[in-house]
Amino acid sequence: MDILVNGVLLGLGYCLIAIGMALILGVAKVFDLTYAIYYTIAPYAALALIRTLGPITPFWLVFIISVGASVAFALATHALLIIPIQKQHLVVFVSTIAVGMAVQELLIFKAGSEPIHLPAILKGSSNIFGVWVANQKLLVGGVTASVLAMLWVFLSKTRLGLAIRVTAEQPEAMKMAGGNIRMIFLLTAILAAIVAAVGGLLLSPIYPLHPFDWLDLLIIAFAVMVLGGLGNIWACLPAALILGISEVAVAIYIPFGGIIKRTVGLIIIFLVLVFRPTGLFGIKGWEEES
Amino acid sequence: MTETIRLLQVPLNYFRKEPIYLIIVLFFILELIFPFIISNYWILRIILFANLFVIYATSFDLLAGYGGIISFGHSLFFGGAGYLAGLLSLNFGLPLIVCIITGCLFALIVGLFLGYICLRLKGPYLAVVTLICPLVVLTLLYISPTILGGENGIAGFAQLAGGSLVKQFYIVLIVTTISLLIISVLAKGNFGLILKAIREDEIGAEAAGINTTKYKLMAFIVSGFFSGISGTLYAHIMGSIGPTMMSLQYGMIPVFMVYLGGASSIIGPFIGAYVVTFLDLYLLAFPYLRIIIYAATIIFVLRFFPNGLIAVPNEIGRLKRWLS
Amino acid sequence: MAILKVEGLVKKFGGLIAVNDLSFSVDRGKVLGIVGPNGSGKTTSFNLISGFIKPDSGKISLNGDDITKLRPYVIVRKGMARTFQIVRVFRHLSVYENVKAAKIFNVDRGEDIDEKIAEVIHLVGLKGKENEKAINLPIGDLKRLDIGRALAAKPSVLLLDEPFSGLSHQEVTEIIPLLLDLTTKGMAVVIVEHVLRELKRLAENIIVLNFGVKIAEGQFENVINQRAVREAYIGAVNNV
Repeated sequence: MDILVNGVLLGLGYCLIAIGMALILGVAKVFDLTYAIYYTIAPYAALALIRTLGPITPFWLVFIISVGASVAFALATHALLIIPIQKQHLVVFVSTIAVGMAVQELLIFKAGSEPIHLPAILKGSSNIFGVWVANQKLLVGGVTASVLAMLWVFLSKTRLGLAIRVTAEQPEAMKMAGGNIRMIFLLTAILAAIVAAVGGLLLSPIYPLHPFDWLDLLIIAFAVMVLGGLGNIWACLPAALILGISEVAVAIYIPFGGIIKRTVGLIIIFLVLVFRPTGLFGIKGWEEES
Repeated sequence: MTETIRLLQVPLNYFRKEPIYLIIVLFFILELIFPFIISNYWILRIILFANLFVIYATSFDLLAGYGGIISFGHSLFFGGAGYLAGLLSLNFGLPLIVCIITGCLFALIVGLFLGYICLRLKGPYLAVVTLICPLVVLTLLYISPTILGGENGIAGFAQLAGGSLVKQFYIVLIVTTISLLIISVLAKGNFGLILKAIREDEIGAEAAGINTTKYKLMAFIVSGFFSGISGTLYAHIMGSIGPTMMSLQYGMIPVFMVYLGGASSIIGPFIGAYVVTFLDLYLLAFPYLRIIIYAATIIFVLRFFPNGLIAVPNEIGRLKRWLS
Repeated sequence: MAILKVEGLVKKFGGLIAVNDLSFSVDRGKVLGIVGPNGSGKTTSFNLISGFIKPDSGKISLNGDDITKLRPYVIVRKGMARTFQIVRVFRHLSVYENVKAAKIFNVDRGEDIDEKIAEVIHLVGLKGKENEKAINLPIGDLKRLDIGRALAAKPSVLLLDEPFSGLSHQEVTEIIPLLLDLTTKGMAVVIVEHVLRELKRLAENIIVLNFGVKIAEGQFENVINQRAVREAYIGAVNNV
């Protein structure tokens, strides 16, 4: 039971991390590896803000500005770097890795390599099904659920959401209908950055953040995406839950579990891509399109 | 058997047609006298490492530039072979040459496995799988600090040529030259052509009578083997092995070098290796700026000079014509 | 004597039967046309015969050898080569290198490979363009190069997948004698085509596929006039 509750909550957090990247992958059809940086920037920005403006700053202000910082970075990266070279997948891959490595060094330079901790929004813990969990974790779970719900509503019920879905499936059709694809890609990037930043701000009180964690985050996002199936963002939820539960189980039952945890994600990626590239719910033939 | 013979067949005017051999020979002769004319210990050492990375980068190019199989996990070969060699030397006191050869053979076998896994993968999927393979092995390192050295690595095993820089320099120079010659023969000959065909259109290559599976595997094996050579030599010259040897950073090194210099050539990775190694020397003074500069450089190069530095003369020519 | 024999070929994709019990044979020096509306299983048949996909059941024999389960490159080396609907050439390589790549494993002991490559290049009419990169060639030349790549394998059976699509009447007129000449030397040719007017100049016999089933077989004129065939084509392009 302990494993289940903690695993599910962890999984929900992972889902939050993965869904943004899945969005970018689904719409712009690129592997944007700076995505993990959108997650990372927000807590660092928040910390910097709190340090300069003092601890009495209203948290919602800090929240908004930090998310804004991530969004700004995402916009810059996509507009300047990714969109011009969108069709060359490997170049995007290498370039975004490069940007990630650069930002990592910048953060180490400015803020040191010690992990940072944001103050939790919800303090204390509650008892869920007989297991004591930190309230912050519950908050994460709740936020993930609402984000997913909002995303679903946005994508299926609004015109803009429809535009995004059309661009994801048939960019040519969108162009012919007079749609501005560039705007759609940028919009997707903004959405993804918001999700990532929120994830960062909510999760860093629980899991201390190092500047070099972006690689781990990418692995988590990848594991969730490939397990769920590329091209299908809703599959991120079950996949993330599976990952979360497996990691918790490994951490408890296997020696050195704490360190091996990350390997679970790696092994999942490996096994899925080698043996069943479409993942659990993937759309067949998606790879041929890209 | 006849296939192997065909691979190595070369027409009579081959060596005259390919300037690379002349360049390699000149390079060898020139560097032969370096220890006599260069008195600065550090510069000599830098050139030594540049040569090592030439092997690393060129082996990567064979797979990535010629074969179109871009693996981000070559640090698996480099670091893996290095670790094995270092461990054998430390724990069993085996003679250096045995350690090095074992390390290289290990890299060769790993190449076979990785190649087999990657047979059906393409583009970004291949990139991701190759990227995570060394990371999985790295985790193994972290959980066995006593045997495998954990985070801090292992030091104190035998050094190449007992630590004498001059002797090390000559050994590395000879190995580099021989490696370059072998890789050139492969790349500029039928083997390279087959790889290029597979790169351009795998189905078309199969329809041309090419056993694509076999040649993709061979490319992995050869590439892994030579990366292993550079890894084992590196380990024995540094006298230590550490997890960075298998990190993403060391996996990106050949990528940087090859795309900076120019892929699908022998001279490209060569230039890339030298430029990056020397650049690194100057950038060591700015530890954080260093990576930022590398990142900016590779992004810039990929965007505006996708064919690398060796294509710059062409690009300048084009620019001149466009301006006039 | 049939050099290529296809017996009972079946291929299903999920619930869809793409090729349904297809049988035919081709003799040395003969040209067989395969026609049918889009989606009738023509290209799938080619893919099955040339080894790129494996049939669910059936047998394919080349010169008496069972090649059903062999990999494409083995089939090529045994003497059956093909071209592709959308040309597959090695774009960043020169014409010479393109042909050489196909020649490496198909040259006999004692033969000079450069000579043989030059022969093929001359045969498909690309002489003088040896050093041109494939990416710079116009579509007509690309088709020739595709055929050249197939011919480099010295095939006894040549499979052409819509060789005339995208070509002008003039360009087709230039290629036809080349193909006819090859048949006089004993090569069998199987052509999948839509452009029936041009096909008529080449193929004495044709088979007609519809929904994966062979609905007619025989001499060109007779088959085209069969009711079943005309019905199959209603709604599709009919340019005889």
